[in-house]
Amino acid sequence: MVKTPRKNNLLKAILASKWFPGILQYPTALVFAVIIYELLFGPLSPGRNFGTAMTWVLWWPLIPLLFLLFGRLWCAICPFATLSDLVQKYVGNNRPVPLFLRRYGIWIIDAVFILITWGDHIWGVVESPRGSAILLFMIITGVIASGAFLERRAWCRYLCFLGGLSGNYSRTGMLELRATPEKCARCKVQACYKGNSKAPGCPLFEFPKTMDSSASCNLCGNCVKTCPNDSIRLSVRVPSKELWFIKKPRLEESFLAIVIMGIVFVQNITMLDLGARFMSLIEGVTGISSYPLTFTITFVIAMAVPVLALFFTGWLSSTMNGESAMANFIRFGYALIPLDLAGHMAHNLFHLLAEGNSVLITGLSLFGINLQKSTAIAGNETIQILQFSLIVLGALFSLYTAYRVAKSNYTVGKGISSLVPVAGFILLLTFINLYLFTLPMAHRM
Amino acid sequence: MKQRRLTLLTIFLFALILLPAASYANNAAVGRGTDMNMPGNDMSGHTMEIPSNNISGQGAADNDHVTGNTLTPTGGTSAQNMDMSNNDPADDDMTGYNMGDIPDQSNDGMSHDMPAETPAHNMNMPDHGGGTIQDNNDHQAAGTGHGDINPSGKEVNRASLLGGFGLVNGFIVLAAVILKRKLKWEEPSKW
Repeated sequence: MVKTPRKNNLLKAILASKWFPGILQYPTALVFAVIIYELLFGPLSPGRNFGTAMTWVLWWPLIPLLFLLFGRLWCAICPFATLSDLVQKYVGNNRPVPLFLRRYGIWIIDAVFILITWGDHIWGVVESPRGSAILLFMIITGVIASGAFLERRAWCRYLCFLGGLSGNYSRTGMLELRATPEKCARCKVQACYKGNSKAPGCPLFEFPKTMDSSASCNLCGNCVKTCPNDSIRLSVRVPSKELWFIKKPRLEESFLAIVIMGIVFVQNITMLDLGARFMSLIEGVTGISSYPLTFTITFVIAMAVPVLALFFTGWLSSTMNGESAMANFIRFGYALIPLDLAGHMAHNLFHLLAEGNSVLITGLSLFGINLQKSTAIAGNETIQILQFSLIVLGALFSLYTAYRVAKSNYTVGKGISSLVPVAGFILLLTFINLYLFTLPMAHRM
Repeated sequence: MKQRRLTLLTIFLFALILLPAASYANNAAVGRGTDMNMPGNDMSGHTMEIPSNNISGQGAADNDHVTGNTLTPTGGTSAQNMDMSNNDPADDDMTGYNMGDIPDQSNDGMSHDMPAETPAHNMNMPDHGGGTIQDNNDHQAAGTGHGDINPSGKEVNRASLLGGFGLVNGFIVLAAVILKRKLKWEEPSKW
């Protein structure tokens, strides 16, 4: 018996409203303008800068939670997307997206994400208001170029590093937008893709009729507005459910999943004494005393080890199920996404809860109010309990996802045996994460 | 052919995007080794050099503690004051000093006011990693020696930065307008 998805008519009504997403888009753009101004002209100390506090203590930690709850909804109200729309409206050429972007877009996203993380550690982007401003300006330039020449939101779909991250995380999201196949079968106009007088077509190049993933749906509501057949439905689903049934697994998406794990490790390790000791070890072994070089070596190792470990896991599974190691790498890589998300949230939970008051303190300082209080919202023990809970939950969802992937792709015996190495790898990553969260971590601000 | 031109244009624009950030990147990388950039004080390589004061050559053997130094946060936006005027320079060697032992002090953007007659302060801090820094914002930070103190001490040239990005973005918009008009003339039906 097929279960009917739980429809959410209230959310659908919100998406159908002519006020959505503008009612959220423009206030967000206004706050963004203040953030940019503060990053550029505000205090140099990150602990006193409203822009830094808003960006790295509030927004960055909250964004994975938003992906879990609402999928890529953030992308619908993102100020960069708003800017892209405005540029496109006035000077846009609406050229087709180059083939190399369509083909290698996620690889570019993977590379940019790695590059930004590396650059942050070399140049201190996150801890530096001016560095953060430059990063945002670089993104703005890319967004303007994309909006000026390419059609729709090519930047968001093919180039935004956060778009790649959100694409992966949104697959675990609890909200899904899908079309009703029976209604779409009768449709001749395809307004959801092409657009009509009510709204433009899908900005992320999706065709709801065939869409089976939330990775590229930003819940902008355009298809809800344009569909003449009321085919679009919004439903609540079990987190990570989409990952259980990936029809066409892609290497770049699995690669991004394991890369994010590496990045979370790098972020954790560099905020711990462990990172300094490891770099001292590299200094001792290589004789290199330059921080950028020793960090780069550490970074490459930290990024390569999880990728190689997943490949090794894939090879072990391949001995059980007969598929190639790469095929297993690609298929089971998706199972890591819930743990990725949990690790990302747990890491940033520390910044949110241990430094969250800095948003209030720096915000009030804009109005000349000098608030003297601790930046911490919660104590270290509370934060640690929440971090452990998140990691355990993420691990459970990852394990279950791996089980469902194995079950739906292999016969019973092969499925279970090929699951064993993957489950072992997930548990290993879980214990490493748990261990890292037991250690005291440095603040971002 | 059009695709190729667009690809080349994309690469060109990407290169342009990187240019305005280059000077910042070069500047910021200096001193990142300890993240203790301070205005006027280079702390790369864990050595705090103070202009107009000879800090070299201070022996470690007779300068093994910092007792008596006061780290006085002034609450300013760009600088905090480490008042060391009442201290014998001979007491100021911080070689082997563990930052984990400094409670309740903020090191954000501090500068160091010292009387000109102060002859020498060796403030090498090779072992400052590993401890816990409790500063006046109640931060509890693991002293990794990297990324945890204040990496943002340097001011960038904001006029150049805004000008650079403004110019690049202006150029992009101009190129888009020209392209749009050109294509309107050439292919009116399509565009």
